Amino acid sequence: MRTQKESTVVAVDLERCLSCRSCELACAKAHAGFRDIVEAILSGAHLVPRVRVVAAAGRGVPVQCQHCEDAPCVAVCPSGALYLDEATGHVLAREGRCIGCKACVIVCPFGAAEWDRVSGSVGKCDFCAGIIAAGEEPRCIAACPTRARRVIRVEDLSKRRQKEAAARTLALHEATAREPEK
Amino acid sequence: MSEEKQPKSIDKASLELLEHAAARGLELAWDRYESVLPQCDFGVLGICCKTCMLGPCRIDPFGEGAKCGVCGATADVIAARNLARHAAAGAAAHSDHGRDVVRTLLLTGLGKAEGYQIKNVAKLRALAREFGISQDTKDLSRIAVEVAEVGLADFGRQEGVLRLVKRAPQPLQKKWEKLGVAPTGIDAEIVRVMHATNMGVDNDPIHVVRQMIRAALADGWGGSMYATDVSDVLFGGPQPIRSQVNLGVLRKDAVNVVVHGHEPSLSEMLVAAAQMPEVIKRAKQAGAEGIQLAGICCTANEILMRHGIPIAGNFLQQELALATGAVDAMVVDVQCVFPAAVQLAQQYHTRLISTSRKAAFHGVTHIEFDEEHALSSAQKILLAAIDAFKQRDPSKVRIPTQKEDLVAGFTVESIFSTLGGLYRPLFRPLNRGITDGRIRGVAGVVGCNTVKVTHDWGHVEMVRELIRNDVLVVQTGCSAIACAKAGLMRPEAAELAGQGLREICEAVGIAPVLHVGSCVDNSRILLACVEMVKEGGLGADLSDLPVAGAAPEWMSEKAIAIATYVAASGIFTVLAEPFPIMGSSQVRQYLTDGMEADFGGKLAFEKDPVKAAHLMIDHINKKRKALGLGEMLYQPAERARKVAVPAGSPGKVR
Repeated sequence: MRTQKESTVVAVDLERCLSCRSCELACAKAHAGFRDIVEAILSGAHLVPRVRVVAAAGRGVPVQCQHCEDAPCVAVCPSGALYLDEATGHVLAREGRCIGCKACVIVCPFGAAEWDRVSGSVGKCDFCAGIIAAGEEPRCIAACPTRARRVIRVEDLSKRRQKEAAARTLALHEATAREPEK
Repeated sequence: MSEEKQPKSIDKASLELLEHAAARGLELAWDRYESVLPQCDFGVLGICCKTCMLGPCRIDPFGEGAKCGVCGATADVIAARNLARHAAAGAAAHSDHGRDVVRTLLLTGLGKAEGYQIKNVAKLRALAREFGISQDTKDLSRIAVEVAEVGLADFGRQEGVLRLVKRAPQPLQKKWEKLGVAPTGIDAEIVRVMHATNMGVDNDPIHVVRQMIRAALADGWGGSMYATDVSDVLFGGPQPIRSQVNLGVLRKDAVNVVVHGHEPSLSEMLVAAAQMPEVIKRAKQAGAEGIQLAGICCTANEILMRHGIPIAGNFLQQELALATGAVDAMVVDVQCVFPAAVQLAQQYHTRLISTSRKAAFHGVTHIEFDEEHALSSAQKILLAAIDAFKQRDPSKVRIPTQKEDLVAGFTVESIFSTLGGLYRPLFRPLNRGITDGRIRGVAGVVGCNTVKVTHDWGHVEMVRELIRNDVLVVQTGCSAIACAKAGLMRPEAAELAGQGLREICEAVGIAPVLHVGSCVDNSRILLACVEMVKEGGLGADLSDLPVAGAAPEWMSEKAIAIATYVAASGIFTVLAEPFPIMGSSQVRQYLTDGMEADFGGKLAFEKDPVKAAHLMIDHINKKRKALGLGEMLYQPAERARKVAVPAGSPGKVR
């Protein structure tokens, strides 16, 4: 039984993304427990981002875990390391459970499950679980200087799209309805 | 790190106006800081290269992605080049200011500078002696012209070594020569950094840093030192002088003219013009009691040091001064003037007046100042201020009551005249205080304000900790203004000092924290160190001295130049905000460690001002030990946390 109250996704407005990679740095800092980049670098901690700004046809496109409902990575994970969190709908990893089979890396359509040689396990976006639990935005969202990245409730997104579609339909209708009168 | 909101300032006058400004919906630097967050971490680390348009290239600080830019420049090369350019810009600012002062001396000698005169003949003669200029002639103007010509030639010098560099102790000069960092011409060294940091020129990070050091030394032992020395010749050598500081110096009943910026040439003339009977008469006709001059930033320090003109505030108070609604004219020249001051002044009757041919502000009154018509320009500015006074809206005026007493005006020549007396060597009492174990050492605490640290807190907290540990503190710039506001530059502040330092301060009647001037006057601190070495008993080089430097709220490129030349002169220097090079382990390692083997001085980065103070104290103790000095006479007293600490947890770094 899903107890989740809403479905959220990270949406990126590509028009606003300047490929600054602030989300990458913020992500790596957050998952090593830092806010200050200098402290993070000097600490010698292993810093790995779980969101990537990927170059495609001369532009930067942020790519990360989409927290799929029927997540292939969860389906193939033989050790139960990856699971769908019933309360939030986010795909999370249980620390220490990963056996390094890399099946999730093979099946993820977004390349969002990454094999990390140093830790010997798979790393992926956890939607900043601990951080949002404390009432804050995910760090990649807070770090975006152009606010290209937003957390969106899927239900809201559908409603917005429906409104846009309604407006388009009406405009089309009025344009075509008026013509024969002339 | 906690995200708790830090107080914006520890200064009561500033807090009052911050609240007032918020209620009026005025936008200040702190608000704009919030709006630019998050700031770019690539910039923080210094690993974004925009040197050529193969880029911008950014290096992956986590070592997985790009390891170098398109050209092959690594994080180390990129960070070194970026930093060198910052330092060159800072050196350029001080040195261009210095050039203009020397040029004013030339015009004064030629009789072309209206209103100026040689006020300090002894210092002019001393410079002439140093430069090997014949003084057979009784004609002072002739000597002034020759001194100025020698000085100007140093700016354009193409070979050999800058003249003032020869003031450094021999061992230090030898180190510079050996490392190839002894500066030639002031302009040339800055140009050379700009060339070397072009795409595909100097590709050895440490070599780039050394070129940066050479340009910085051309500032500290060149541009800045000329600015200080020649200002003393033209405007008089400062002597200990009483004055007041903080926004409470502005007056309801007077025409308030706030000078803000850095160069003393114009403000000197404003001081003169404000005393002219016809100007005062005009002010009275307009309904004012008189003219109140007050300063912000280093212009303030220049006229405080020489004339005792009160200080309205430091860097982060420039907008707060405008928000009093009581400033009739804010007269600006160069450096540290917020572009935002224009819009803020427009909310009031305040006339923002730009004066420098180097700095234009859109939509303000421009009264261009040139040395040949200096007094007339100054008069014109004051008349504009009087005109604006008539439009002042008393209902918008909010002047805080806070103003604090201070004593300023300490220089290498005057610093211990009180201490040594007229016929005794000036630095002997200081050196003896150190060897006797009453004074642990000396610290120069300097620099700006930044919105990233609670305003004034970094300075005041550090300086209180230093004096508590018997470290005599000398200060310049906005740091000096911060501590003056906190009352640390009153002789009574001796009671906050450790027992040994307190005994000496009370015996001579000085404060444990001494104001030595503006940011170009950091050259005074270098020369004070030279005098300490010359006096004897404390080693043969600046790096032997039990001294340290710090900039607890720095933000400007000028501070990068200063910290670099101070460290390269052999003095351990602690900065709060790290240099933007932390993405390069090689540059970081050199500046914070490797430099010491080369120069005897190095940098450290520490945001907590008390921890930073202890880095300085530890360093001073290390030097005392190396000199074979005995234990301190007294143990430091318990730490009293009453004045400077804002409510909340420690570590007030925003």
